[in-house]
Amino acid sequence: MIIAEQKPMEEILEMLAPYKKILLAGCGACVTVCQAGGEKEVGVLASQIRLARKDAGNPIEVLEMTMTRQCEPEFMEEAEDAMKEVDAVLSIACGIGVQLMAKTFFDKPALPGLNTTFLGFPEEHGVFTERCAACGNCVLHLTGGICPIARCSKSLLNGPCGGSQDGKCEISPDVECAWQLIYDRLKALGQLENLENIIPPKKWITSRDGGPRKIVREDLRI
Amino acid sequence: MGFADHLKSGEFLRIVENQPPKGVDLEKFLGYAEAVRGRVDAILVPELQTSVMRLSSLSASKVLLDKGFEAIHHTPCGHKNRIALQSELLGAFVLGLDTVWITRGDSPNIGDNPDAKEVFDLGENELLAAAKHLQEGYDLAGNDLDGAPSFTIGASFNAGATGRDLELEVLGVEKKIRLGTDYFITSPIFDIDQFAEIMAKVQPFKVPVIATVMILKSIGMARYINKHIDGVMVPDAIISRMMKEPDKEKASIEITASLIRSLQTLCQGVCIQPIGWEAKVPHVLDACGF
Repeated sequence: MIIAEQKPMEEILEMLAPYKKILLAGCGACVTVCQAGGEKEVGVLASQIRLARKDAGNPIEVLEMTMTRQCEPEFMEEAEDAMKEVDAVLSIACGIGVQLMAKTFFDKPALPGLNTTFLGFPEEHGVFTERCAACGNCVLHLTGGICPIARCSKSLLNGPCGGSQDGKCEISPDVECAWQLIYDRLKALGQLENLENIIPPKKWITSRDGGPRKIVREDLRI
Repeated sequence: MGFADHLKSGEFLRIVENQPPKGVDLEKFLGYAEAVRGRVDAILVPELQTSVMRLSSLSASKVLLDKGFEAIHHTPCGHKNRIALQSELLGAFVLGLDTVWITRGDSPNIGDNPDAKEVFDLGENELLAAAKHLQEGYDLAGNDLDGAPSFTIGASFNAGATGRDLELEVLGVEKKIRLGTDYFITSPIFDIDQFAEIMAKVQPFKVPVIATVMILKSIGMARYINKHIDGVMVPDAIISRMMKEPDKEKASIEITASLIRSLQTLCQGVCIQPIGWEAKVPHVLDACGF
């Protein structure tokens, strides 16, 4: 899922400075699971904003809403009525949600309340780690189900780099060496022969390097 | 007389672009340079133009410098991060290449290694800022340098900007000047009237502008440019002039020379871009009376 975290309060308040009435829009999908932009966070953040603005002598009205999913056009109508009343929307969905709000409600500013951080999962309660770089050319079948692009600091396709110590990455003892993990997993699977093959240089054109990406599925088009 | 002195002199400058080889055979590269020795003020050595992998501008510029040519080293942003770019600028200076031209650069996917990872860690303005910092004795992160370089820094602008784009382009020019740009080399120009329009807005900044003049090799090339290259437009008058002339090569040289003559009153120099017709550059210079 998409992992995000809330922006610092000062930054949010600075963004909201010109507005007197806003919609604070959460999302019921990924950011609810990573506890950055769900119903609970909408309630807490709305109170914090109201209090801060009241203390500053510049009160603000904050409407609260948690949409089913902010990344799908079909759910945009949930916000239609509220958007008519407000000066702007502070979205605490991922960047996709913010942009769909901006596209749908073209005449109202859509402000990001979160920093969209990475694609990953909760490692343990309150700990989220990156797992996928959405590079558009998956090699997980060759690397024991561990992504060298997202998890190796150097995104090496033929690691290790020689900089790891005790299975930890040279950039930090808190970061596991992806190639150690790949080795351990391939060994457990009896697939160590995978490491004998040299993976050719990556086709980065399928990643963001080829420009903004788009998929057209003719079989799904109406 | 170095390039900085040429810029200050106010004389009309003649620059020619010379592509480094795709390989290590320097014979043609040096041959083209020798063919214009004494007839141009500097040779611009593009770095990985259109993202085609070839010999670096740094190496090829140094080769020219050692042979007594005034070389302009090119540093685009597309393929190196800020650490490598700043290091490259320091490297250029210690090699004696103190005239540099900074541009945004091209995406790898238009080149001959389209699967390469795109960098663009810095854009043109940020790299200009980095060059300014280096000259002031510290790097982009604020760390002190042990000895600061000194450059004549060039940047580029889109001379084909019109309408709303024109305002934005002029704002960009102003910003680049604030970031220390000493001279500009423009995108290719075919439409003199349009260029006069942007020059009217850029001239008051009093920073030398060198107009790029691409040698138009064929009608097909003109049509390709009009269809695929944003901001560059070959006017119909030039295309029909080429169509009427049975000797296309002669027409090409005459068109280039006449563009250069028209530019002499509008800006401070030209950069001839041969696009594979390097051998024709001396004929263009002859036709211009240079």
